[in-house]
Amino acid sequence: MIKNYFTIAWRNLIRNKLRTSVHVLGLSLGISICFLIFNVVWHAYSFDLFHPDREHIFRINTLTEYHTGEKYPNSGTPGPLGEVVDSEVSGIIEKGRLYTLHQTLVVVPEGNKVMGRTDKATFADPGFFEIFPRKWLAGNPQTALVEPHSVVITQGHLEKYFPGVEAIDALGKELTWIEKDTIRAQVKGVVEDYTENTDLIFQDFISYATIQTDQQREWYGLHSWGSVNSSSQLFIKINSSTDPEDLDLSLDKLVEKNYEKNNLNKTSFSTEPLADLHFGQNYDDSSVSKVFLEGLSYIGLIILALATLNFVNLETAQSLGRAKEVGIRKTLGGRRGELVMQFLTETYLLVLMATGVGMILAEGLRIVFLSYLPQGFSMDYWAIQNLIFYALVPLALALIAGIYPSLILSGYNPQRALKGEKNSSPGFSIGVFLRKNLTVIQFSSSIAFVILVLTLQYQINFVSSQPLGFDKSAIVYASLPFMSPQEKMVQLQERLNQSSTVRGASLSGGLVSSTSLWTSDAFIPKDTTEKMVYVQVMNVDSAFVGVNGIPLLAGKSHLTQEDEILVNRNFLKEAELSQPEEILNLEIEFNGKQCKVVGVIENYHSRTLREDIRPMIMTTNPAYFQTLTVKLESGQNLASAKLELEEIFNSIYPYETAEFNFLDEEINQFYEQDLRIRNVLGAACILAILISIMGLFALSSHTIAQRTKEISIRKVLGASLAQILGLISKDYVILVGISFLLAIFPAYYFLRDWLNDFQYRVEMPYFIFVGSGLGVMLICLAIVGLHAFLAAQTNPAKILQDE
Amino acid sequence: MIELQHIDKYIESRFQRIFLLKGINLTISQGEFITLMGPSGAGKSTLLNILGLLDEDFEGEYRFGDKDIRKMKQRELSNLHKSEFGYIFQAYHLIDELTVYENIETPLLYRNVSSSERKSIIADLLDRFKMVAKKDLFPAQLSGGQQQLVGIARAIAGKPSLLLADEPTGNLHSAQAKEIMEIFQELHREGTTIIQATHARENAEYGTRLIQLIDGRIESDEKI
Repeated sequence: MIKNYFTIAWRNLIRNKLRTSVHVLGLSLGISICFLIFNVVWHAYSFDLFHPDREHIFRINTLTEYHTGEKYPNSGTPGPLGEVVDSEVSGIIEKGRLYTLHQTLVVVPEGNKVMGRTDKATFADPGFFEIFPRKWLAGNPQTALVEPHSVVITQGHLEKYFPGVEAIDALGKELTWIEKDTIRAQVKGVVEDYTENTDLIFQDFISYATIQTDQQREWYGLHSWGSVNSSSQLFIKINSSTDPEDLDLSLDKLVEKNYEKNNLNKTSFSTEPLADLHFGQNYDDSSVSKVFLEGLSYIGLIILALATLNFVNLETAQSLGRAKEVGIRKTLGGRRGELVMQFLTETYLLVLMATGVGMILAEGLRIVFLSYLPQGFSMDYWAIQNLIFYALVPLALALIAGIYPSLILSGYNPQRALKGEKNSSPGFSIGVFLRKNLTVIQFSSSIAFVILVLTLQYQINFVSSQPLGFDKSAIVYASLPFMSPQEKMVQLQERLNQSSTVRGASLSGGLVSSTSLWTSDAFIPKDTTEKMVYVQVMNVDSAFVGVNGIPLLAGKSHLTQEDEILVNRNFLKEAELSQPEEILNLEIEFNGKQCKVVGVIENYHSRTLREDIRPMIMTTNPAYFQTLTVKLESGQNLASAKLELEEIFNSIYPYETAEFNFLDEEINQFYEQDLRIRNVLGAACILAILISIMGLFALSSHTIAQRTKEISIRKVLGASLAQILGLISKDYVILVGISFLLAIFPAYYFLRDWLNDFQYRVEMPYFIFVGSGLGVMLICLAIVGLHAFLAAQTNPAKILQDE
Repeated sequence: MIELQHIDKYIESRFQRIFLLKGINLTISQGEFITLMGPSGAGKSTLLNILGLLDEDFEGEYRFGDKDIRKMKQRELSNLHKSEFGYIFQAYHLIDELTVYENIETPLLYRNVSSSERKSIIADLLDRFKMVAKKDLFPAQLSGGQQQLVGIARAIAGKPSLLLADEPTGNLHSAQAKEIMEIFQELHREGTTIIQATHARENAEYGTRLIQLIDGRIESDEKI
């Protein structure tokens, strides 16, 4: 019986190649996007699942709340908390501390090999390996990290640092990390690398005890409760009877004990389950937000739902053609249940084909969206979760998509079906009603997606075309080596200024406009008292304002003394002064000392246009310069200019790799997240439209085929082509109209929220709403019109003769 | 075998009832070969559909053997339908997507006949109708007469006791029609009860009983 079902299903599919391809293609689009998203979500949830007792492992986070209401969550904790947490909070079995290092230069003293910079080195205490046990190839797990100047490395790094050396022979070898300080350590252990997905990416574990003196603690920012550093990570493992919420309460008590009550800033600690690590701050910026994943999942489901609706719609429309077969089968003794089974089998076969095609499309999508997928993401088609996907999804889809058409089909009355009577009672018909509604839903989502994508693009265009208040063209920048000696920096700056390609070079703490932010408070003298102002601070040199082309309103832009500052126009406003000249030479208390205002600059956007321009102070502190900004002479070949700059850079810093980037590219990165949302929505939009069009194409050809006789009679009676097109199109105009009404509300609410996130934004662009509706309507009419046109072109005599 | 009493079949229209059948009383015994004749619209097909359990929307009493059709459950009805009835249509009504072999096999599949038994039944039928060479062809590749032969083979594959044929020769030319009627005669001789509806007087000659229908009534009922 099943074989018979499959045979007839297969022959039916072969016979109607167009119908089959439209059905399969539409559905496979939905399945492929769903499959890809399923894998992305699965990947995101696959991190760190292999640690024993992982549900009892937590990371402690710190939240600093300024009295202005700004909140700064940090995945790190103050150093002293790590020292006392296990003795003062009950329920903790083990604590593990990390102090992560960034861009550390690794040197193997044996043979003086420079191994390059790594983010995978960290200080760790022995407790860390208690919480996250490893397989040890050499060394003693209990004692390896107890002594200062000890290090445990993974097998991967063993092979990199000491190629060909056995783990056991590596013990006792020396390694050096050059960071703020030079760290030396002896290899005391070798552990296996993790093979599964993990956020614990570290491969060099230097004993925490290496940070031993108070001076070092201060150097690393571990000395006080008031200093929170994201490098200082604290993991804990609790016993199974402890409730994480009790833990938070105990942590609150620690806060009470160690922080002054009248402190303006409020600090609190919280526990973050290990399972959330990949969704918070992790160690290689590969974390994803759950909201993003949720959004993706919704989009996947919407597209799949669209494809399924489309499928139901087409199957139902098509089922009329199979009434005769139903009639025969019923007279031959087929029961309704058997017929339902038959049609479900057929649907299953179609869905199975669609799944196959979908896998091919998914591979294509994966390649197209490679840059959007998490690093390390791979799609293993034979992984157990994917095999389950193949087994369950087609089955579920076949049931969902097939049940309605098969119930309709199997319900035909045999003798009427054989006579060729369609079950079309005049008046209300559930089938027609459903088909129309499904079409409306499809178009609603298409229209909504189009509105979203266009409006996002509109706003992104708006913010990227706004004047930023400085000149970003022909500016390149590079990071200076950390804690580089001042004379070397100045030497580099001078060498650059001599070059004919360079108009000016500047050293500063950060870029003129970036995602980083340094805020502080300043006190403006006001009669007898002072007014406190929250300001953004930039650490710049005397050339900075000129190189970046920021307009100077008054005074000079050259900062030479550490007690000289520049302020911007918004600072002027805070000081309640109207003319820039009035603030010159005013003494302002900032950074614990009296500083003199020597110049006033125009407001400019130092952050994204999501934010307002803050009052700003520019100060100079050459010891903390980290960024080199170079303005090139105009009319340069930018690529060759960059090469020249890199040469100069390397002549001063021979051991560093010079990496110059363009400022405007950095600024475009501000809206990367938004561009990402736009692109994901754009892809969803294209898919939705494609599926809807396919659906409409098949549906309208079917409907019009049914109305061919009517069209012919009207033609004989003298209707013009335009009248016939109008007659056919009228229904669809109404359908698209309803879809439009349904689409605008969700689109409006989403966009309102998104736009409100920007301080600088466009007005809600209603013309895009209308335009999208009209655009979709035009596409619809084009498809329907084409079919109607063809129908109207056939010779009426021929059609009427057949009847 | 079959007993019909006071069978009425009508369509309710807005102002009046239009009767398709009115007051039909009919007794059919095992082994009869009945021909229903009458002009278009006389109710031949309607009566045949009611007899064949394809139309349950009628009034009156229908007894099959000692069972009242009206009182049977859906499942019993379906089983009775499968075990006792075979249908032959004017337009053959083969399933276009299936081959000759598979068309004949379909009713057997619905009767859960085992695979080996199906093979032997179909082999016998193909042999009998000299269609062995055509078993893998599709209906569209056959002539009308050949299609009707497949239709008959399919109808008798399930070994029904009652064969219902609605204008079985209506689409065929006279030589083909003659062939079909001879097969009917043979089946009748083997003991199958046959009821056919037809326009053609000559077809009635093969039967044992001729019933004339006019305007939904039995006009005459004679043995031949």
